[in-house]
Amino acid sequence: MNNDATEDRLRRTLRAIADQPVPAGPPTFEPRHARAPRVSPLRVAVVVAVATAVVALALAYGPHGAPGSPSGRRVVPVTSPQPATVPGAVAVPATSATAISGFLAQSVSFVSDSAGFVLGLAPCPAGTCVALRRTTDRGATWSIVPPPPTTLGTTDSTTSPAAVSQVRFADEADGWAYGPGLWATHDGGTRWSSVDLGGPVVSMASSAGQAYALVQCLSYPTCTSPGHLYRSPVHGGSWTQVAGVSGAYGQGSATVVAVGPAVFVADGRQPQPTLIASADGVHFSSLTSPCGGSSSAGPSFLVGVAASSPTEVAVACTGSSGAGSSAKSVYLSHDGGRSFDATAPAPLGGDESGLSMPSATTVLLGANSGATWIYRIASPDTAWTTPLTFTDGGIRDSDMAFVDADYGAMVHGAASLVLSIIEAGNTMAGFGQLFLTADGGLHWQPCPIRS
Amino acid sequence: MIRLARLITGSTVLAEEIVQEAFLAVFRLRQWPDNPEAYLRTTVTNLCRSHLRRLRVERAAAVTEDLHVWNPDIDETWQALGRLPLRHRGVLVLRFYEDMSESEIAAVLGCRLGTVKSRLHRGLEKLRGELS
Repeated sequence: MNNDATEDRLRRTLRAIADQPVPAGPPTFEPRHARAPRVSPLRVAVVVAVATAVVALALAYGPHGAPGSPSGRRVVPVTSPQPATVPGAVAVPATSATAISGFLAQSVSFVSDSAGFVLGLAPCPAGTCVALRRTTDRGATWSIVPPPPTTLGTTDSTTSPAAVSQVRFADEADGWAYGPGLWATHDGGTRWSSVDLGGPVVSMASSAGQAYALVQCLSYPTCTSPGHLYRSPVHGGSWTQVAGVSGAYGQGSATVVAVGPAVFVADGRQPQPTLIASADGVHFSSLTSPCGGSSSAGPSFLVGVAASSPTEVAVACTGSSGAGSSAKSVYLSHDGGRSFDATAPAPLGGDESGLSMPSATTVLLGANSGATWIYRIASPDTAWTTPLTFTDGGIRDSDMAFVDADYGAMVHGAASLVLSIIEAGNTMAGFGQLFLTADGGLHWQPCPIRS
Repeated sequence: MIRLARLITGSTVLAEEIVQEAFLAVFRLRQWPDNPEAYLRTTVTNLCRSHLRRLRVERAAAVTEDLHVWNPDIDETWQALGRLPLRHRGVLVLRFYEDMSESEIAAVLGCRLGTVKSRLHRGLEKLRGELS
């Protein structure tokens, strides 16, 4: 083999390896599990605090969970502690390096065009605490809601298994905080119950009275058994395993989306990406992914799924990655994923980081690399536009989701990242910030959270 | 940037930590660099080197992560690249993935042009030997 051949082969190899999607960052639309940076200086103290709480709970409830816990999946009811000024917050020891000046958003979940919840970090008497806020007037005012009594989760291996990084509410009473732990509330956050599904929860969704939780694997971190999809009535009850949906679902690569009675599960992990769907949330069948397959020349990797109705589905594919760019294609289906049509190619800038579908023809695609972008297409035949660009070094947006064709929300620069920046002695204005749109993602406005 | 770090270190986990550290390094600057992307690339590359040195894994820094591939040629080349010393692997990644010129690589690595030429030559030679 001569040098030219070696160089060509090396180029092809590097491109091919780089094309394999880096597990995407913070959650996406039907949000994925956030990939947040480590928060190491806090972790030891937090883990000790949580471990103490877990031991106390274990002693209180014994080895079989709470009395009456259904289905063998342990449900431990907990009333959030009530520190002096921040209800429900688990205190993190205060240091000058970890002080933050205001609420920093981590994850958002709106249940209507006016009511929503935001999980994040807030200053507290002891330093920095996990916090939850609620609005009923589309962000004009915010009230304090007790958060689950745990810490902020990251993808770091030392993250407490009870920690949470995402929040999802089905209505103003029923909600869940997850990633990797799972906590449920059915009274708007006054009481939280921990739920043990046997492994880290990487994605959640709810619709038509059912909540769905996708578990990465069992016996984490050794992952001796594949993960599963579980479902539970949103108003409470047992979590039951959904037949026919199992796999080693990856953090950041697996997504569950629920709309109406339909449920879609996408996992982009190579070499066997999967896209499956159910019209009733119970009986699942495989769909043929529109992503290219094994070719290294095109956007062949399945990276996201979103839906605006049981029949209107969008799938995002990526490939041909280069420095700061990647080919990204979005395919639309009008028959529940049985067939797909390609939209115009999305802009090359950045790696895909989120997909959202507010209506049958409108799709928004998040991307980040040297910057953070939101791309939007309003019709399959039109060109993509870029309604939002942050020249932020690519911190990325997360949790982009819509409650209807017009109203949506997202978080720019999740709180966990901001915290690590502040720990390093910096102040970063504009991160951990909530953005709202009222016109299907055409325009976005920052929404400060003051309470 | 994560891709660059992953190609050099062979580890997605380490690459993510390195890129995060690089961002933090940029944020620590009192003055925003004229070319943030170039600054980040240099920082990521240098952090890859220093991380692996610190972990004393340079000699054993073979690509151990199970990155699934679909082409035997690519698989073989990737494994062979992982067996190269870090100083050679980093230069090859910058040259053949980032498409940087030898002068640009020298600037990124803070070494002489001749050193880059030498590492490129030896790296390719070793790679060719591994693949033959």
